[in-house]
Amino acid sequence: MTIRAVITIRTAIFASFAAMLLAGCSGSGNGDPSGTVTARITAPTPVDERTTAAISAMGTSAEGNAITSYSWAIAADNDLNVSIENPTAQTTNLIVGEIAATVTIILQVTVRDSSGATGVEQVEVTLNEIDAALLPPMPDAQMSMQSVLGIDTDNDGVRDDVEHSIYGLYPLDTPRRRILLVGANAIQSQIEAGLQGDRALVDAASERSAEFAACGISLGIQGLQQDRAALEVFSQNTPARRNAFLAYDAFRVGTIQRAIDPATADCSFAF
Amino acid sequence: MRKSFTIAALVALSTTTSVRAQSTINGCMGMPQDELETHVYFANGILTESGSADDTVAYLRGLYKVSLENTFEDQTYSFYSAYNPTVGPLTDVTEVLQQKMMEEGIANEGLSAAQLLSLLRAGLANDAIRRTVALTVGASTRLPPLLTDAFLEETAIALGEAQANAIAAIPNVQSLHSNFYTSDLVAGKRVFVIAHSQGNLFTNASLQSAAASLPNSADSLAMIGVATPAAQQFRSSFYRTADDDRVIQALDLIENVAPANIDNDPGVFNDFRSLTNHYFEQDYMDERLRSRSAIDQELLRLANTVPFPTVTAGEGAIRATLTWDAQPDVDLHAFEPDGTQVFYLNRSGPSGFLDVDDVNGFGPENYFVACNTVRPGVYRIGVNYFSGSAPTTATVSLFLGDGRTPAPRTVVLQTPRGSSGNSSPQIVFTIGVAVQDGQVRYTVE
Repeated sequence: MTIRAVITIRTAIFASFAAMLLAGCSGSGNGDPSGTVTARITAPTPVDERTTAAISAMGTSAEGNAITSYSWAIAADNDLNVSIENPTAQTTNLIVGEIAATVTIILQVTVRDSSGATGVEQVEVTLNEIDAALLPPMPDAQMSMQSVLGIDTDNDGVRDDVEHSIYGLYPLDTPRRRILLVGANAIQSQIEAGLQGDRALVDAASERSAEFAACGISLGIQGLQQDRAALEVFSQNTPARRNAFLAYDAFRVGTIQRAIDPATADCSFAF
Repeated sequence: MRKSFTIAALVALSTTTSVRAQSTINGCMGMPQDELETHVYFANGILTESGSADDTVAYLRGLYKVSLENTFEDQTYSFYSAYNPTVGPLTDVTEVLQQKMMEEGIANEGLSAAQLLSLLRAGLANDAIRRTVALTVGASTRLPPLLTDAFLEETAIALGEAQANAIAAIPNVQSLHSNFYTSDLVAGKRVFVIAHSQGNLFTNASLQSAAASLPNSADSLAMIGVATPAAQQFRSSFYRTADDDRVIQALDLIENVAPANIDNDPGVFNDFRSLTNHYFEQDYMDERLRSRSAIDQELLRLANTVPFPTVTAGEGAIRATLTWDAQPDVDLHAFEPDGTQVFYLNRSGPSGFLDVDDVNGFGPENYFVACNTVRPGVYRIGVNYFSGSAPTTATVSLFLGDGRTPAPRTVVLQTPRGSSGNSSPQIVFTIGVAVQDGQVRYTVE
């Protein structure tokens, strides 16, 4: 979200919240609300994506009236994957899903007492996008293409530029990215096997390719062939890499490769 | 990077394993337990790279394994890709794409014809193609918007025409997988092959070769053809070719092909198929298509009616099967970890057995090590050209107890050596066996 958009949203929210406060003071609820209610929020900040954070509210009535309800709300972009587990509970959870970039939201609670008087508190909570920081440095394009096997600074079996492309393809789908990293590792193994012309490497790369297919099945991915095609485009981006891959493919002619049981496939990939 | 072990390191690991582990060893943890086993193969079509074939066979396994094994509770179904060549035709088709890209002025924008071909073959939607290209060459380059819908659709159609020409131009359809099918038959397994496009041509040849080699087991071979360019199918097997399959239609203009036999059109306002109507998953296996229903029913019929062959060869932790092509006799030899040589004069070793020895035909010969008799150490598999009058090509297929099937190895044997070659057969496979954490591990050099 751009800063301008955040400010625009904040401005709108503050205006509407101000209106709500005025409406509260003018008397909503049962009878003639004439009390003073103070609301307080306890919430952590920042909160990482894909986590759940406990939040709680406290309401006090200057007149000693009983607090009768709590109502939570979030001011954020409609597409943002963040929600409140139980919007009417005093203590509940802020559920943060996958987000594409670090963003600040406004968390609001409205507390009502038995006279109908309300109090409102708002706090800012920063939601952290954490996956981009886990990527290896994006290599210089020319340097990256100088060798067939490319640059893999984190030594995880996937070229660094390919890791960035995978992230760009599915920034909001961590499980799918993990599976695609298995696929990228398989393709890198195929390129190396074709380059070396080593039959044992060819056999191992063939197994890894089947493992990627099994991992896709286990995740229920529709259209894994399309993901594989994208990975091949990312990985075989020089004639030398393409030729090494074709050399591997030629080794596969006349062979068979088993389909691996998804329950036994190694689909793990640490970022 | 994933770790790999050399045979020496793996065997060194084993020497620290207690002797007691050898007596409880099970070298077949990756193998099915039912005796009635069917191997289902997918034979790929034109323009299919090996990874795509791997995806398709995983898809088929996901579709059929559980339902078949639930229906036939005493049977196991294992799925494999039987990979056919696509490199030559792939190059021809890539050149067609390169030409189109040059005509559109986008041949030098950082995207190769091969990369574009990968995206078109996979059936990506146009927006997904542009997005993937943007991630590859950079969103700020001028290329992604130049890949207009019109260009991509024209190119997909040209790709279909190029596929037909490439199929017609295949120079030599060989029986590439007959050694696997033969190995399956002697081990008592049925062979079902689901073949797509050019895969039908190679499958017909391979099945005919296997049937000729083992005529008494030929009834245990079966085939389902999809989008076949063949004039006839193996033993008049079932096939389905859509009447609007543009690749087969184009091929029909220049070759003799079996007639189309299914209306697969889901309706003009609901046609989700590709522009060529030729791709296996998208255009024939989608559950909304009539072809899918027909293929499902045929597979069930085969599962219900095809007989299992008689078992004549053992299998287990290690199994090596030898076939050869033209001369009277080639022999399979195995050296076990303790140095024992197993061959036609000594057919039983401490852990393995030569249970099929063929002296009149072209194989198979079979050496196997049972699941509970495999021993840590090094096994070597070799061949000796015993008698003949010309060079012969021998192929050894290897099957391991962890479920893997390394690529078969072929040797050209120039001159027969008779019994003098028994002491020094040509080694084809060296297999390391080690026990680690209670698991048997195999390494093949």
